[in-house]
Amino acid sequence: MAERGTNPHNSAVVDTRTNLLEVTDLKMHFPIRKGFLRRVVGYVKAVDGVSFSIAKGDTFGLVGESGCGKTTTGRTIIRLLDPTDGQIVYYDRTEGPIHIENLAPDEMRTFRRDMQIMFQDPYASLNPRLTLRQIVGEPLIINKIAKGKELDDRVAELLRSVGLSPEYMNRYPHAFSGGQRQRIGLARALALNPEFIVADEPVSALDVSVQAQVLNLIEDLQEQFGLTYLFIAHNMSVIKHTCDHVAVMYVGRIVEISETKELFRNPLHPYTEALLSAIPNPDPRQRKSRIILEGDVPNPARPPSGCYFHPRCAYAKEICSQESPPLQEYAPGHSAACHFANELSLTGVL
Amino acid sequence: MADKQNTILQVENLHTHFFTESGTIRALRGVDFSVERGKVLGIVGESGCGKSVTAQCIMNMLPGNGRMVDGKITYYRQDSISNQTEAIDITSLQPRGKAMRAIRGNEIAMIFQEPMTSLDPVYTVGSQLLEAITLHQNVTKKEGREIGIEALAKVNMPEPGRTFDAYPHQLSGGQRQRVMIAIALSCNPTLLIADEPTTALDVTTQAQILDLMRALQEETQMSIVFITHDLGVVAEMCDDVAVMYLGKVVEQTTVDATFHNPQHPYTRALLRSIPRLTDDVQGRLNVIKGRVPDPSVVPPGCAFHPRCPEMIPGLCDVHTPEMKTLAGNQQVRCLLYDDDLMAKSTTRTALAESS
Repeated sequence: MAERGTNPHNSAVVDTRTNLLEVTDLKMHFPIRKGFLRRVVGYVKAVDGVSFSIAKGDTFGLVGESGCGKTTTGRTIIRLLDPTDGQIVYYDRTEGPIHIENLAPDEMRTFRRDMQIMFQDPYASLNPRLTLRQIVGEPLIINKIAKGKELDDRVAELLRSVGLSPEYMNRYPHAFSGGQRQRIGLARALALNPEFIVADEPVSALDVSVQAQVLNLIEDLQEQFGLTYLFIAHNMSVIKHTCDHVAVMYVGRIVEISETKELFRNPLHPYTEALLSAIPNPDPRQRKSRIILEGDVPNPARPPSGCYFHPRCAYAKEICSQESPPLQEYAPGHSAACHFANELSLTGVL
Repeated sequence: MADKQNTILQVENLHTHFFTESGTIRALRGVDFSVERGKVLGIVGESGCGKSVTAQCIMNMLPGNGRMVDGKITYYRQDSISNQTEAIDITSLQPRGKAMRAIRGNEIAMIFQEPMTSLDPVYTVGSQLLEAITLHQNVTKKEGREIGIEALAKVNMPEPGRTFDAYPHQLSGGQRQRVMIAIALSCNPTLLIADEPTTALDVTTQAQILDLMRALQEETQMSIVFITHDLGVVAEMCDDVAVMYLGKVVEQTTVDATFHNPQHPYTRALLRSIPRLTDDVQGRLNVIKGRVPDPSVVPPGCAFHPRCPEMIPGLCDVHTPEMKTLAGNQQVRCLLYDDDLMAKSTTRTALAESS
């Protein structure tokens, strides 16, 4: 995998860093069953043809409103859900490219050591009946990596690396605050020395002052352990602060993908523009009129025709309700799925 | 303190305790703030600081084990014809009494945090709207329906007639919050308490609701107490801001001063800790060390001292700061602005150093 991207025929803008993960046309459709025979009457297309790649050592952001499929994407990538279609290629440090979507459960188990997840809700993701030693040590026991004294040492080391005192090892989760619980979740994710962590809304349940602590910790650990993150969030300011690249999702599809600063400066998709415009600015001297979208996010079981965003889009023309625009690159490393990405001059926030 | 003509609500030294099996929780430990007529006051603070309890006290609807043990909440009712103001002490009213019920929902209305749980799933939107309308206004059911549909139209609900007969589960989160606002505004309140009205909503929906609330406020000139933990929302919505920490207001001033001239170390630290779009470097965020303590074990002296970057040992952990009024009517509860105490402490340190 070290050779990737060094090919002289590649255009100069292609990342010279190596990709760790490549997702192509990923689909996750949930069947809707009805009636006595539980016949399938339709599908919720939670993720519907998502493609992106994450470079090694990068923090890749996935942003969108509730129901857009960002969490499902994250869970499908590490095979907590089995994808309906599409490819997930992971460049393993020893074995080279692996198609994760094809792995059998037992193959996946050994492989999961490299890919871990940190969950959104710190109050629901830790078993209240287990002590920290059991919670953080569980991955080590399951993978038969450590036991006894060695296990205790490793758990203590992990707790220390997330800023918790090893003395807490015998306590139960109820004794900890939201921020501390997210640290515990992070320690558990780190237990097997993973390369890749899916951070699913890691700070959205936290208070502002604690949010800053956890964001700093996530960044420090990335440096310390050379981690790559898929960072799922709905808060644009947090995305801007944390991520190198970002993809905006709307009803199961990526509508725009770019380097973070570029996306905030020059959005190409009207939905991104509206999303950026809606961010409340913590400065009363900069109150401005916002782009207010009409209506709500459509139901992914019955999405509108053509471009899913057209019923709410201020720039929509006739073609938008008929044809679904493909995700196309309009500037180096900056793609959008809009028929008029070239023509519109949209306003960013930087 | 403030001109009574312009004040609609004055909270003074409010103490609220919750009596639980594991002891008394002092949720509010002396809250002071005032709301001006026709203005939006933001109350900000982290979870557990007593924002929502304050709202419950104003509405006089604390849970069974909670009691306002000290202090005063004065509501200044203005008669629109004679232009006379009448001061009503809410703390002295019976929570279920006639006088309180005439105020609650009618003159002072409230929007709750969770649009998903604050509407009853087994009643239509219409019947929940009608409940508020028929309770406070002497109208027939038919007239009530008209007022209700009008209220739904006012909050920009698409197809208000149909929504009136819909059940809450048929509506999205944003629509439910619109219904909540419609119920709250159906009796034309003079004061609206909005407890985290947009926290459960998505960004673009939040923008819709904030836009709507601002437009309605300008139209009706009602006063709003806007409770939130989101400093961005405060900057958007409010005229004045009260910052709370552990059951006390630590700073109250105009929104501009809060963001551009904050005086209390907690306000400053809070502002530094939020990621901003304009930050150019992806550097580390400034953090406030530690976490909000459990309200059952409040630190002595200034409650913020264990986390405060400007803590003075021997002073902040001993003396409880009083509210000081600085230039521009900026009110701060911090010993740094207590000139007498600061003078004493500097002479003491000087003496200690010279000896």
